[in-house]
Amino acid sequence: MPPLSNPPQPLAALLRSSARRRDRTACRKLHAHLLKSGLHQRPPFPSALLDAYAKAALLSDARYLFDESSHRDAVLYSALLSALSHSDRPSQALSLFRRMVSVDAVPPDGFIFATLVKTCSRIGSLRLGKQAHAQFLLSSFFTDDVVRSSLVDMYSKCCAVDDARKVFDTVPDKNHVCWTAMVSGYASNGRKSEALELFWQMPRRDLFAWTALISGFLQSGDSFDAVKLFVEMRRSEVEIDDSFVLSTVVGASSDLAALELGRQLHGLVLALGYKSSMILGNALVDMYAKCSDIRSARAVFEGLVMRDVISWTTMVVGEAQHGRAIGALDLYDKMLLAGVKPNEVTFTGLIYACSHAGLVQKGCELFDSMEQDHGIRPSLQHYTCLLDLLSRSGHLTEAENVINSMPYVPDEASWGALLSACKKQADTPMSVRMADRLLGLKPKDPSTYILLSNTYAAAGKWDNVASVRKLMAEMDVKREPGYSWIDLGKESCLFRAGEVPYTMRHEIIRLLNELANEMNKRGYVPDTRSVMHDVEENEKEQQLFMHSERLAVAFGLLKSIPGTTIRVIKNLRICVDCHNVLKFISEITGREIVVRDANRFHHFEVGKCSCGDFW
Amino acid sequence: MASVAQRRASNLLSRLLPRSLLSRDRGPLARLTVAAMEVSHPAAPPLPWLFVARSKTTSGSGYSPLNDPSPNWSNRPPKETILLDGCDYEHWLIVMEFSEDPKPSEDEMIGAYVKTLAAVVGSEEEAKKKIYSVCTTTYTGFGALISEELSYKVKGLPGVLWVLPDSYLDVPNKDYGGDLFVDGKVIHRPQFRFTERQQTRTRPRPRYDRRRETMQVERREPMMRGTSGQNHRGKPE
Repeated sequence: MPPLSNPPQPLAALLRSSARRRDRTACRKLHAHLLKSGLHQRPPFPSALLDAYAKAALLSDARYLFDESSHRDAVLYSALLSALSHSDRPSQALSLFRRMVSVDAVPPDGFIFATLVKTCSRIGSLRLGKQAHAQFLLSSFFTDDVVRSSLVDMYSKCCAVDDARKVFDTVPDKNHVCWTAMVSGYASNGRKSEALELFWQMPRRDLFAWTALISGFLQSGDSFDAVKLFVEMRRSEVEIDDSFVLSTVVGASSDLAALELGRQLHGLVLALGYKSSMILGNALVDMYAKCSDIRSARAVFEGLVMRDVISWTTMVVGEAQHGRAIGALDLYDKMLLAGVKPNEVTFTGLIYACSHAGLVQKGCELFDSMEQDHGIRPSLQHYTCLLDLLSRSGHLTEAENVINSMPYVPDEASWGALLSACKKQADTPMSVRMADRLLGLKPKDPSTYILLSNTYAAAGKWDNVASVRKLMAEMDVKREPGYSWIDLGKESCLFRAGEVPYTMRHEIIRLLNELANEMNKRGYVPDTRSVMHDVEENEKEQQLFMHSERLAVAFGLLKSIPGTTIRVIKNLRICVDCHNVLKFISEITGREIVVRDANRFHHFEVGKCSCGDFW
Repeated sequence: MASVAQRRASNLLSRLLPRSLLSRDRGPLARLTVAAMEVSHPAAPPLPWLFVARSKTTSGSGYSPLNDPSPNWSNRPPKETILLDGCDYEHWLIVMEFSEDPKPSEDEMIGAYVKTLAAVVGSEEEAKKKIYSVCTTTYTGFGALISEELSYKVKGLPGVLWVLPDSYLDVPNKDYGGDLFVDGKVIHRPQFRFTERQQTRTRPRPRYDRRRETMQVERREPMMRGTSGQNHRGKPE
């Protein structure tokens, strides 16, 4: 062997730092140097080099190096296993592991077991995880605490929380990672009280632990408590030197549609110095869009230093939901120009935008382009949007063709879209045909039944009408009650249909009456067809009067700063009458009113709505 | 069958969506319009594909990204209002935008802060009294003690990027952060420079973030983060 021109120490360090920096050129140069000086087969270089290639995302080079290597020991296997485990196809690590054991007969060590278990976590396979666990217990490394930590994590991720706890309890000296894995396991599996109990037992609670707890809560759907925990965390002395917890809690406020909380968090993000974080930026764009403040969403988006597909898509979907179809399409063009590849969700947003603006040709073009230009197979949601697009604009034959030829079984939404369009076009035989199909699906939405009943009535099929009404009566009991809420920062208020909170009762009713008078002068007529109960006309009008979104808007008018936008969130689709009323109110009061309902956002301004009366 | 396809599609969707874009299964996929509404004008003839077809009435609404049945999007009202500590809707964080070239000096920026606030409170005298914190490094903005109503007026002023409800940066010490601003004078406070090196390189990140494994784009944070600092407030002198 030629004499060493450099002592091995700095070279290994150089390799490690190239790996950390993911510097491919440096890795290759160092490899060349190692070859020329004959050191490439001398430990620690084989594994250090492999590791470097893997981190620099030159996985095939790493693999090649491995295959060419004359001496494949546990260290080398470790390096490659770890690399494969972190790749986008972690199952490759499993096949390599099998080869290690059966072909090269290399016994796995603690590190390899840990990697194996982590791979199972990433794949999400409980079955494989248990096999790995069994092998681990049979090996001489069965007391390895690092592997046990990984097992806790694996069982949690595979939703076997009690198994995770069993392993957790076997660890004599639990380290921080182990504790956090268990807390995270409980939290993300919805076991809140156990998560909290264990959390408060931890010897030390750092940002990592808090984050695991908070994001676990969020994952299992408890956004409210996640935020409360964040407030709690802020009271402790924990420094936020990682932005993940912030993006989690911004996500929670999206979930809660809590704009004011989102704004407070935005302030915190800026004050902490995270304004350039792309992930936080994306979370903020989404938060503002979901909380109905599309202008702020756009402002954050425009301020993003770096944008990825999530940034663009979030913004496109936001614009689409706010009825800004041209804005959404324009963004899409810019997105392509910026070289960012759209994904499934981008197209859902775009086609949705087109269907709500009646842009038929554009919508169809996009639908075709999805598969042809971007290799994305349309999903049922995409087809539903397409059906909506075609049927709303009267292309019923085309729509029927699509629904019959699409590669998915049409659901309630698909048939419903077609049926309401058919009915509008007064195509009775087709309507009845559709109605039968829809009825056969045993629909769940009450408004579907109204649609069906009216369809059959128009066709004179009274028996069907009767049976539909009967089903409707049975359904009525389970109908979700309507409620609206309004968030004014320091206070928020929830309104249920027909109920007015005692404190504001008089003012709200008085205001609504005043507005009603003014509206009548301007030609408003209540539309009682929205009321589904079989009651007197008078009573129907009364019921409409007390719809929750009106109460919320009245509250907003009374309590908010004059001139500001009133934002209301409703859990159900806004009814036709309320939609009309709110247009009038926006005109009379000169205020902008934004209502988020089950489907989209309605921006009411000077008597018009951004949805174009097309929701 | 439909539910299988739906689940498959929404699984794919949920893997690609950031967590916050996901929604919880609320039952039916879409809300259909009450088609009780009769067409108030004669049905328009089917329009050729080239024309923008607008229908004036409501019809079936099909799919909405808002109610995509994927996990974790609750449409339940909040049980109570949650406020961050220190947030009282009287303290406001006002962030301003300055040109990069040339970049103004600290004094110039602070001058701009005072002028901006003066435009809504009446005079620079008054503005100086109302400003309780300033910052020209981590962010370019100031904290002002004004009513919510006035805060809305600030939003429209030139150079103002954001007007947000301020809250404690250092909660245990009830401190809003930034440099103190007293009698028109800046009192600098020790700042903690947050650098890339001190980032959680040694500390393992919380493992949950499945989307990182399926995102099509660079997973790395931009290096620009390294220059932003974290204002770490020590105990007031």
